Amino acid sequence: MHNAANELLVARTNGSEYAWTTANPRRRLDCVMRILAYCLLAFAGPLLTAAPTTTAAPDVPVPDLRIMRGDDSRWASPGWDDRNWPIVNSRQLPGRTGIYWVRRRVVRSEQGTWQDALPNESSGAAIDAIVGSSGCSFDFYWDGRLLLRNGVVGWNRESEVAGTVDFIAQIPGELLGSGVHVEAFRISSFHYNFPGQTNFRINHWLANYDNVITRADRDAIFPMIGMGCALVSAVICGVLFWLVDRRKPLLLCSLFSTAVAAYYLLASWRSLSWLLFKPETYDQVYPISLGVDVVMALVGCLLLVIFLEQFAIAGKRGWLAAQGVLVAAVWCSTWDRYIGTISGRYMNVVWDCQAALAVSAGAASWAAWRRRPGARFAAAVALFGLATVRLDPGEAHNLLSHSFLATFALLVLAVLSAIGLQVQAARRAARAAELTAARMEIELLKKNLQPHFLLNTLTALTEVVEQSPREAVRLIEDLAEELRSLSRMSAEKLIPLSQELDLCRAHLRVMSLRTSKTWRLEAENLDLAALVPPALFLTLIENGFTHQRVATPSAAFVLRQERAPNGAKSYIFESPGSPPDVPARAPGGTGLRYVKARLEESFPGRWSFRQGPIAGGWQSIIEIFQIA
Amino acid sequence: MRILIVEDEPLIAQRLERMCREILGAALEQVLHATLPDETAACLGESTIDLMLLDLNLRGADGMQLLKRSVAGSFHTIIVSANTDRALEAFEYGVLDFVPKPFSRERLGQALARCTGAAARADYSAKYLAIRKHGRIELVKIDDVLYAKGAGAYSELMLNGGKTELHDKSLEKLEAVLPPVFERVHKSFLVRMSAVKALHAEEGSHYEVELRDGTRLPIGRTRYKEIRDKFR
Repeated sequence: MHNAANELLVARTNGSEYAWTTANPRRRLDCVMRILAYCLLAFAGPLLTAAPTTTAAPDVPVPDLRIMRGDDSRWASPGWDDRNWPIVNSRQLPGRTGIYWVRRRVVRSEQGTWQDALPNESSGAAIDAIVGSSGCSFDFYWDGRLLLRNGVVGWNRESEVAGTVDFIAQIPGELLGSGVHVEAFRISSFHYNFPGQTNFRINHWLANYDNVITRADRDAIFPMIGMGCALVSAVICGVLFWLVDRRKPLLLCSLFSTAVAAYYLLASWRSLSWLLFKPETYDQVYPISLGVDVVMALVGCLLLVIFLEQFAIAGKRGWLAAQGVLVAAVWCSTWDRYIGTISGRYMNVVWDCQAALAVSAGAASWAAWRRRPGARFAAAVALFGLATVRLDPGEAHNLLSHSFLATFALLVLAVLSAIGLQVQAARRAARAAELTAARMEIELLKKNLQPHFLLNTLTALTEVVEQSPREAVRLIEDLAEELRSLSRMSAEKLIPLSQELDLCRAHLRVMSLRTSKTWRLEAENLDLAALVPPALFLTLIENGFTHQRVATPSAAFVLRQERAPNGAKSYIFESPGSPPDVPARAPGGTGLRYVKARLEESFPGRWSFRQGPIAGGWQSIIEIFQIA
Repeated sequence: MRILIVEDEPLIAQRLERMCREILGAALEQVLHATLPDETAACLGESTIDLMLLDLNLRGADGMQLLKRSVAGSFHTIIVSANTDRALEAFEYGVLDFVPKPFSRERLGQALARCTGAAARADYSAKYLAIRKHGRIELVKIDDVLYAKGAGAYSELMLNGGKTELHDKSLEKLEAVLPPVFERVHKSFLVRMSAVKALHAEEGSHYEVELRDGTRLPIGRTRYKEIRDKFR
């Protein structure tokens, strides 16, 4: 009987097996060309969210079938009396239980209408095929004639070859007359592998062959567009990361886009493999659906990580834990349904996606509240996705709705915009820092060539030359050393403390000669290798000369260092003398502005400066805090 | 001559004193020193001086405030400073000269010569005259001054609108700081030539200058010819 059926199948020249193999080169070329066209469509932005409307295959209620365990080729005959066969629901066919047959009758009226035909086709296109999906291997007979062999039916797992999930069989015209017709499936399902569930379903209905093929092509368009978009985004972000700016969010965005592309690939694998390769077999449904779930969980995780990273959101672990809990809850709550039926498998994906969008929206909202650039847009997009992403009832294979692709595209846009804003701000800050550095260098050069200091020193020098040429030489040497030091460090942002002390002491030697007093700098407990802005303490010494009056013939400036328990480094600087009765200048003059600007340039946001009178002098305290 | 040196750097003060002694010789009666504004005020309260040598930057203190008080005094003020960018401003307040640091003996000598009247006025002229009034210093625009009248150790300034003010400087010292538009028409009068309407020669070699407001002032016999030439 089987051999006869095989012969019949092989003898057909226009049979349904033609549609399901990839052996025909013309057919393959046609598919490839179509796929290329879809890829091109993916680059047409406006079309991205306007994916073609498919003619959906409704979940048509299938009448109960009559079932008989065992294997007898006569059961294919339309005249076989099956009235004593038990009735079974087509959604609860037993799996992994050996070979059995199911039969049903289909009626075509005199007016030519069919029961079980697709609604649009029952009123329009001619019925000439049976189409459906199943979780088994089977041979299909129509009025006793074998029309389709889907896999190889066997008595055990070893002898069975898994059939394809989706099937179509063209019915010859002579078998489509009015009256009662009998379908018979010879079934085995040893490769049905949903854990904990033995029942599977057969969905099948009468259809127009050409319409089904066209619809199959259309079903592949949207996922192909989605995959194309995601891949383009992944490549752009990757290129930006490698060639433009090594920002982690760019790399994450590339991975995120790749994961979305993987989602579309896996989710549309049934359609794509049907068109391009060997059609997906029913035993591949479970691992692929698991893969889709895992990929969607990864997509959600990457989205949250991107937000956490890009918007520098505090409590990263907390946000990730929240997402983990939500995803776990989703998996637990949908587990029974997930493993139970094929049609419910993508519910998990929806909830995974919603969980990721919810947590990401929360994180982005927190960032927006903290005024992180671009966070408001990102939060709005996540909320949009949360409100709109659903299972698309119009999709044959339960893809996420088109708004998922729109949400994905907007999310990438939001992240790239936020990165753009960040780069812009960083460039502005860098420019400001450059300007500050340039201004500081000019300030230091002004100190270097300060006319008042130089001219007064030269005036004093003219007198010393006439009085004591040897002293004059010493003064010239000290002045030259001070000028050399200033010149050497003018372009530096930080210098070792030892160099700063040398500069201060050279200045004090010059001032000692000029003022006919002995000035010293006493250094206590100093880390001479520590880095400080140039002329920091020199400026404080100059301020001391300006604002303090010393009556004694000699005096000492004191600099000492302390380290606080919190790791902050303190420099305590004391100028000798007492303030004049009338203050020379208002506080906060150019000297202090220079000190503060230098500290901000070198230790942005982690320094403090305070000052005040002490017994016998004036104390300035500079604190430099550790990086948090 | 009594000189007050206001300078916070001892070497420079020392140099100024040494050079003043060399230049003025026996004419130098006394040299006083001050290093800060409050010390300067104390010196001026205790002693009468003829000349102040003032540094504009005293330990960071702005010497301009001290300068404004100084130029209202009876003595001359010469600035000795490295702040050459403030020279013009100093001249506007009526300093006699501005000696930039570092200075030579010749340059200081030139400034001291202006003080004794042995040299021409400085190229820059005052725009204001600082007057001490009710314990405060007020500035009078020189453009408002019609003429100045000697009143012993002081001078009386006649301003537009008939207003008068008293200045602590003698007429001789005032002449040294006023711009060349003022002419000494008489030993007791300095007149702004642009305010002169006519010259009158009366009988008995008595000459008078008539101002636009009708005021008539005497002209010294020895000065008439020179004044007449300048008026033409």
